[in-house]
Amino acid sequence: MELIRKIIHVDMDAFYASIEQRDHPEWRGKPLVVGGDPNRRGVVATCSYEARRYGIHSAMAAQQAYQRCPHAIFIRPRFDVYHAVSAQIMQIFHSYTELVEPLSLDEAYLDVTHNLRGIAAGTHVAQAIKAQIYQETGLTASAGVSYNKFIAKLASDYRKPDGLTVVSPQQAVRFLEGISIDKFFGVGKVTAARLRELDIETGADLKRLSEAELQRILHKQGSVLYHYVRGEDDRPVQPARVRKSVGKETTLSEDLDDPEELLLLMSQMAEQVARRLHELQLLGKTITLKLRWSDFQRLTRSITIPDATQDARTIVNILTPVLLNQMQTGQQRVRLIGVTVSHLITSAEANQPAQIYPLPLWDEDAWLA
Amino acid sequence: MKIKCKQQDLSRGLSTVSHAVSSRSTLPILANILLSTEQGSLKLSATNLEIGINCLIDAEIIENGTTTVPAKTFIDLVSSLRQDQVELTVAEDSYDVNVKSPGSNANIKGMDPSEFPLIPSAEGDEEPILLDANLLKDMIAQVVFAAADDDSRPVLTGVLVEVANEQVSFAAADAFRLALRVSGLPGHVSSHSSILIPARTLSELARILPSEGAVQMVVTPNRSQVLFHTEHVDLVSRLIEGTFPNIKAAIPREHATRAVIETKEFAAAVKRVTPFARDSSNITRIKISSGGDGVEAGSLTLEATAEDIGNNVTTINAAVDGPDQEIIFNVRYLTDVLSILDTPEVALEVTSAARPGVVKPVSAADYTYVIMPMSTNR
Repeated sequence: MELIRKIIHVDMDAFYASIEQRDHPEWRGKPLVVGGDPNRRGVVATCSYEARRYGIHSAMAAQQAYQRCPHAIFIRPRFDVYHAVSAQIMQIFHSYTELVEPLSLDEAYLDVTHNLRGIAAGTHVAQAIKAQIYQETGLTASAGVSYNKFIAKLASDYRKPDGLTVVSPQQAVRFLEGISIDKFFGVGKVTAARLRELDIETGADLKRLSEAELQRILHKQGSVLYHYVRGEDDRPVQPARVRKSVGKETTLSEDLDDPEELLLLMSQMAEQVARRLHELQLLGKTITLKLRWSDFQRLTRSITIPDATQDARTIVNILTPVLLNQMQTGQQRVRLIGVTVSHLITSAEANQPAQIYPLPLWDEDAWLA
Repeated sequence: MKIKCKQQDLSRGLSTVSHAVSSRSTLPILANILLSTEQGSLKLSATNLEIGINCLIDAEIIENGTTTVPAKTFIDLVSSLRQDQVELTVAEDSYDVNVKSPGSNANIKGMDPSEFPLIPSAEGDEEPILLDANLLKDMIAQVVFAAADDDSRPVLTGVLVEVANEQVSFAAADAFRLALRVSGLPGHVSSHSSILIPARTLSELARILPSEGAVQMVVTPNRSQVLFHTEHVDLVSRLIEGTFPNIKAAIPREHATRAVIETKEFAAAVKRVTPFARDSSNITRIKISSGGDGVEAGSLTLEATAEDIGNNVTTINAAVDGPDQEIIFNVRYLTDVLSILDTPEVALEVTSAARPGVVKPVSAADYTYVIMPMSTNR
């Protein structure tokens, strides 16, 4: 018989906000928003549970968050502190197993089938880890325990904050049937909407479709979902993930041709990319702007800078003339806009005190004429 | 060949052609200067295949002829001669030159002049463009420094010369700044023309042009070379092939803030911060302040910091129109432009820290200098 794995997904609760509330007792119990400046074009990185009650969530424009809750406390992130806490947490994980796959600063998969502490039950490992995190950092985490990554991640999200949800192989079928499809990995707004049109709301609904039918609707992803909803996911926990790029793109709800609006969107995306780079402790040298025009033609423009960056302002500064150039030449409206940073190096590699570099007079496409 | 000329004339002519002599070449003849006789003149020629220079000097021609002599030996010799008459003689069956002047009699071994590459002369199909020598020198000086000095983008090592609508423009740029000078060309109605002349050629041209008089610019029929013709001097240069990037796209059409500064004060301020910027990629922070309520005059502050040396903050007066700005420039790009502007005042136009800045002379609309700022994460 095949060995049943014990996979834990640990996710810190409102990580940045909780650290801030821990360090600033006066902010506890109050709506707190960590992220960009609401007077400018920042986005919400994380917010406290108190702020979530006002409908504030991460990746929302900070201005919008301000409109929803003007009395919230808005603060800028202290990434150095978050990194330090993250390192503490990762160290705790590594004291249980070598198979730790970090997804971000505050989230990781652990394979504890053969753990270093010799604890038999995955549940007990998860309890021990949660307790140790609280003891050492004063912060709470939610954990999901199951036999594959897909279910473990759904389980950690099932009860939050400070939750622990265990889904045994026997419970998996019922658990998955009850989950709303938009929680499924890889199901975004668009896919969810398409499935809803077919009256598919939950895992149980999804199971009514054959693999071929799902493939027809969702292509490759359909097949993946077909297996996931049946509890089949044999992706291993991979300790070292080598990233090639960090990017963020968005399809616009309506096609835009106003450069100011597009600049705003681009800077929001740059902020999200920068935040992700900060979390992953990565910097990149190549900054790429991706556009899809209303006629579905794609366009990418890259600029490579001498010193790698993870700074949103730098990304925006570099891409602003590129975008404006395109808006000047293109008679089309924009349907999709994306920002990607590649040629990545780690912060340790980049360990340079300041990054100052000249902006180019012409972007790369000036040379294509 | 037998000619007589003044040492001063010969020395000046040799100095004119000397920069076109090739010092290291697989073609030994290129290290030589071609001597030939023309009506009432001695013609000196040198080429390194990129540029070629002909220079005519007054001489008494006793017997026509031609030869080539090693440039270095000949120049060293002539410059050491007394300011008196020099007599050059080449025997009929020889290439060697006898150089006779009071107190000196030298023989220099020559080489076959038929091996010397032909330098094209001033015949072209295109209508020559007539420029004033002094104006041309000015135009060259105001753009040539902005050209790239490395070959990674060959077109950027050139100066883009465009003629259209009774106007001639010279533009040069590297990856981070651009200089554009335009001048009227009344009466010139030939069709639009656009050529890329190596910046080195133009520096050389500016060096050897007379301070007054007319210069004819002609492009050879095959459009591979350009020739500058004056009464005594011709310079021929190869042209650079390729397309220069769009200049108009690189010049900002508007600005948010304009600061008018006395050119001399600005140049002095730049000079003061330069030693502190040198060790950190020439980074200089520029702050433009309007002085607030409009009662106080505005100011321009330059700030440079060198970790090991110290820092310098220099503030000068400026008439500022628009919101306060802070922008980082490579100070060398400012030094360059301030050293070639001769109007009493210059304007610095800025839009934001990430958009290009523009330096223009005040009271002259014929010059534009675009500087890209440096971006920083701090």
